[in-house]
Amino acid sequence: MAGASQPAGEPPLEGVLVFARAEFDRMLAYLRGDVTEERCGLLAGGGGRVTRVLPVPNAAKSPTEYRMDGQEFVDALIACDWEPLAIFHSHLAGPPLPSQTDIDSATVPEAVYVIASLASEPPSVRAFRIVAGRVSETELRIE
Amino acid sequence: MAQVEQMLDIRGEVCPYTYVKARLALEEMQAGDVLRVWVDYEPATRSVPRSVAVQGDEVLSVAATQPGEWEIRIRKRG
Repeated sequence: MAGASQPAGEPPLEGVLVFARAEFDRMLAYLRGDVTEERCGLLAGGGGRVTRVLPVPNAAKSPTEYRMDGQEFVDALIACDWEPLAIFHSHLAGPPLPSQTDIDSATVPEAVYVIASLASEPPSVRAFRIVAGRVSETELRIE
Repeated sequence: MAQVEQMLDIRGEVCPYTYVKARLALEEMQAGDVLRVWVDYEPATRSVPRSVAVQGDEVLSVAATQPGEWEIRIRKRG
């Protein structure tokens, strides 16, 4: 998304997250399935490559925040061998950028945080690492 | 309000029950309180911290307390 020189206010670019087109479309289809509450889930994979999309119900049932919990969350964690490559969620109206709530609750520095904004069609999707409150962008590559 | 530290002894439990029991304990605690989870199942030293971190709680430390036993300290976030 971002180029070699970052516009003012844009996070720096670090790393790559690779999706197969089918997995990327599967994630978007799930996120588009509800425009009244944010949707979320985990992405399994390794080496920066997504191998499986694992939807998890949003326990917060909120249009502005998400929280994963319950048996579905445990099942998704087990499917990731407890180490999700990435954590994804939708923004219903806002941009595909981490909100302050997203930054404050991002406590997995190894994971990529994928955010899809449903405010546009097709949705705008970006990915970030969030480490101790510092945000950097991860390049999304769809193959 | 003073920070509370609570001990959870789940030695003998295996995944995913280690995580589930830690989660249930955290739900009963207040933001800022610290849960000290005592485990003897080595995979839990990875699964419990990763799981609670995905949910936004802060993993303060994972340390061996004696051979085959570990303590995981978790601060519940608001």
